[in-house]
Amino acid sequence: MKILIIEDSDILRESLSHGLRKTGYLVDASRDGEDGFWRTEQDIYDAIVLDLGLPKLDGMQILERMRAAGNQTPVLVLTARDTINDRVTGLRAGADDYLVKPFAFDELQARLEALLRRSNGVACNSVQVSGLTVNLTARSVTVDDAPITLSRREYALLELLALKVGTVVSRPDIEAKIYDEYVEPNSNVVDAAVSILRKAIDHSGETSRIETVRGQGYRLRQS
Amino acid sequence: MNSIRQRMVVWLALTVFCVTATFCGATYFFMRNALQEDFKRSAVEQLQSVANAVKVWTDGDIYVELNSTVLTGFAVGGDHAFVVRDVKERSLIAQSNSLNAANRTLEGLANASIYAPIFGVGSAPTGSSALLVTQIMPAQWGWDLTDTSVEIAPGVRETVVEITLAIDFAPLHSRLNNLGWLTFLIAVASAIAAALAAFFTTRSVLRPLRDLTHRAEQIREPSYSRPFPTDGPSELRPIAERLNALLVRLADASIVERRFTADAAHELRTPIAELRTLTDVALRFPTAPEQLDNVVRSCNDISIRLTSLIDALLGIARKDAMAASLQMTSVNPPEMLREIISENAVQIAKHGLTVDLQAPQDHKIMSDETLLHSILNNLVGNAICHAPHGSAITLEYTATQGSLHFLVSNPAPGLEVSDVSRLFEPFWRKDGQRPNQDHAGLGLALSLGFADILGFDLNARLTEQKIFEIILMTRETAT
Repeated sequence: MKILIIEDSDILRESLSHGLRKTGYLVDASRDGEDGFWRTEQDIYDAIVLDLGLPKLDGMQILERMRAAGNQTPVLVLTARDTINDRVTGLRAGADDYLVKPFAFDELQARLEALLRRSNGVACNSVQVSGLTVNLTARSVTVDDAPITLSRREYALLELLALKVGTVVSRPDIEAKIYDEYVEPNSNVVDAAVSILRKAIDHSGETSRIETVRGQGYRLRQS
Repeated sequence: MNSIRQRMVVWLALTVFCVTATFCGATYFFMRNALQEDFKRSAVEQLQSVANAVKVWTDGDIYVELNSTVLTGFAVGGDHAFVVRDVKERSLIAQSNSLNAANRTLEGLANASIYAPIFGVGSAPTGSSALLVTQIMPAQWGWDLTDTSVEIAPGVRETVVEITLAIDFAPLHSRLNNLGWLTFLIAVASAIAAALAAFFTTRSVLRPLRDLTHRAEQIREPSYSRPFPTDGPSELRPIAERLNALLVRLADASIVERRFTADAAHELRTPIAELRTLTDVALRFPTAPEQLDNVVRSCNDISIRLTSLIDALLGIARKDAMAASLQMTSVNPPEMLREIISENAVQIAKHGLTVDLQAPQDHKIMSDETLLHSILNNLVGNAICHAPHGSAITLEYTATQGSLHFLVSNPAPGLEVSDVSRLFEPFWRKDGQRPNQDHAGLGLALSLGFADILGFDLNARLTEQKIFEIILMTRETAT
């Protein structure tokens, strides 16, 4: 899952980036509104953590421009403004959730998870597909009730496929969402990651849970 | 009695009642006199009636031809009485039946004259008090001149009679009594009417004031909406207009206060959020000691920034208290400026700035050293912080007799004329940029407050060449 943080406080931005990376997310960060909005146009994110009081371009303006451009990425607004009016204005401008500073990192993480689940049409915090269970909160995976260990990137790939179970996820989407900006994406890397994931979650001699759809991408089988 | 309404009711009622009472009293005395005069006139008319009935014949015989069936007051049991006496003989000629029946007589009043009746008080035939009227009348002759055959006995022409009349006061007293009661009832009714009139008049007159009060009670923060109507009575219109102007100022002040509070909360929340997230993440994902060291340093930086912010906020909050505890001493602003420049030498060098101080070596003025230093430090610090890299800052200090004139100028290419008026607002920043560690966005607001306490004017302007100038000067020298 790829998250964009737009926050002008260096300490807050770096702390959030560090914490979310440690949690398993891919994180991009911007320190002003103009750069942040530019990133929303250049890349695909699963969620955006947006501060409202930003230099150059206000957070509310970013929201309005994003929604006007048809960008439906879930946005969690992060601000010190806590009046009802501020919240209502933020939510009406297109924000999906609102978190008032100061906040607990756990709460931010939980809200982000909820946002990501909702945006993928998943109501509960785990996805179960024929013996494979992906716990989105604990970020753990079990196969036939046996826990398995995945690297951060493998888990990110599985989570992406699990959230869109039964739907083909294209290679560019996978590249965009499991590799951050500092990694040069190429199809071999995705294939290699899928191959490693298959070894971890499939039983030998059985049909792989991850189906390759030629010329399109990969899909997690529903049964 | 603090209520205007009560005062108006009481004073209006008293005034109306006093006027009415005076009118009633005057009317009573006028009517009383009129009744008394009327009573006397009636008595005189009765006297004349009796006089007309007195006949003196040519032979000297005198008698009274009074018809008691017509003048019933003189009949038996009547309350009128008369006595006719021969003045010369001092003999009784005739008296009314009312006296005869009561077996009494009347004595004429002393000093009676033939010119006009005189009045006195005596007893009526009934024994009650009565008005006495006495007049001396000569016999009326003249008809003998036209009838020459008439022979008149000697001395008859000189016949003079004294007529005394007594008329019971009872009818007069009864009428006076009625007049007194009527006057009293009118006075009471007037008092009640005055009270009611005062009450309703006051209520009517004070209705606009009551509406004004009611409207004032409905004023609520934060909007201070519902202005006072200005279409009321002309006496209240200036008050309503002033109150409306006051409401506008209150609303403006309320907006500024709310904005200040919101900004202060915002500025406090941000470093607290930084602190909490930093520590949350550090506790959740333990890191290497050297990274932990960075976390601790960041926490320390945040605490310094928070302290600076809270100090500035407290400075604004305690501004009034500071005004009461000024310590005025002889201070040397040029020396202070040199110290401030020296203290900021690192920042000046870091920004590649040149600072040109034009000031005399020494100039002593009486001021509070702490507050003045804070103002000068803020002004110079702002110039160093906001002047473009490599630009020049000019500090011009003009020494005059006991007063101060200090100008700070620096290039400000990003500033607009419309920004200048907002520079003194707490937390205002161009483009909403977050403050750095040294500047919480309160410096100019604080300086303005301190300058006001010390009796200085602090003004800012932006020249056409985008040179930002801020001037601190002693208020007496302001032009």
